[in-house]
Amino acid sequence: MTACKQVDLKTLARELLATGKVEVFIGYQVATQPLMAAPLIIHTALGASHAQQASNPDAERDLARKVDALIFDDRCEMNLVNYLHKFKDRKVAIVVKGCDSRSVVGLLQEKQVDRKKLIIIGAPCRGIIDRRQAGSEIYTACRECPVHNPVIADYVIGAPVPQPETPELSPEVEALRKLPAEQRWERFHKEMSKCILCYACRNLCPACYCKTCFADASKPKWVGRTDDPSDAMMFHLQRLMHLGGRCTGCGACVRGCPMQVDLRLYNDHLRSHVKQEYGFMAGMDEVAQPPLAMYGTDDCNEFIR
Amino acid sequence: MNEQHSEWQPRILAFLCNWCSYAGADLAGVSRLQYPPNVRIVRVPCSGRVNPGYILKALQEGVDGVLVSGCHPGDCHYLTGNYHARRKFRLLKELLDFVGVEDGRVQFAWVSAAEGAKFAQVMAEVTEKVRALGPNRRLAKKIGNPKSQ
Repeated sequence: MTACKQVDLKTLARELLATGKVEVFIGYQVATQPLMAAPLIIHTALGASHAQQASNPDAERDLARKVDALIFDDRCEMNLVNYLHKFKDRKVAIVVKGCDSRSVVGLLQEKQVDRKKLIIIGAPCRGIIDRRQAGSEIYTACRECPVHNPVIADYVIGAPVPQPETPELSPEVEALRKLPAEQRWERFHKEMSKCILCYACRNLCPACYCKTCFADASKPKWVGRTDDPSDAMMFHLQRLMHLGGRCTGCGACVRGCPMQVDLRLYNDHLRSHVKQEYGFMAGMDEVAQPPLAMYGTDDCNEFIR
Repeated sequence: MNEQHSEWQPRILAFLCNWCSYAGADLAGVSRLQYPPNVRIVRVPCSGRVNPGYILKALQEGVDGVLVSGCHPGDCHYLTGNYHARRKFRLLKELLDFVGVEDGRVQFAWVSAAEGAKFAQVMAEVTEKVRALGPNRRLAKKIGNPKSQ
């Protein structure tokens, strides 16, 4: 992370919105449920100039109230980067944690957002508390997170946090790799049998931004609508392939899954494969080429006759 | 039905690139080379055109094995199609191995237009490997697919 200005979140938001530097501010507010934060999206009035905005006391008061509701703490689990797709042609400021900042870099790599219209507000983070564990622990993805401090930011709220040592590969994935194929299949079958094909994982994933997803296509119909686990397998295997070398491991899919399908296992496996094979970590370098979008003439050829 | 007909035979789907492997299959044909009749061929413009989804969908629909074959590295009609395919298939293979799909269900080969004999040999080897694995039960859909009950 490059050295940049440390600022107060609310002061910054107020300033950015008042001066018209941004039209949309994406951050967090307290949610109605315990241990959760909800997204807070603050708009200035569409098409209104700053002068008009300032002369309307109602709008002014509303804006001030919303800015005061902004928070950042260890409940802010949502990956807000997903909202960038919805505000493509507007000037946006967004609050990102370390993991979310990698998602932003991924989108910059894939030319999905315009850096000139984007103000990134980095939030150093020690990990998000796992509400399913009644708040006693942080999420697994956070425990194994290699970027507690944002990799890209224009402003930073709060001091950088120390980066703990993290394993190269999640111990759970490592253990699973060592099991015989039979048992790996049993595990996969068990995870896939839980899936109800609600597509929450896809909808929450900042890397899943296709306007028409293969899962929604009816011609050809890639994913059937039965409760046969093979339908869930088709969906997840194909989605995993799409995320190969792109998934940053933010954990949004796992946190959002209503059936607790552990997709992390499979994404982690592919992520470590890509890192080992091509030395690439998704979402670290804005100008790097994603490995699955290029090729090498000396790539492994052993598996081909 | 006699004994011979009721015996299980593997069904294999082969995606062959138009410029090399499909011509290789043609050469095997005109050379009168024998190879197992278990293979159904789908002609594709390039091995790089093969979406991993095609392979997965074929397995779900109940084929016992899938082969993807294209031009040798460096010989691609579109210059780099097979290089891109190689990375993609490496990832797919890594994923299928990890989830526990048997090694050999999905296979890859480079067969040039001049290699009619290699084509026949690859087909024989692929068929034998899939025969040894037995019917595809893991990824095949059970609901609404009488063939994979």
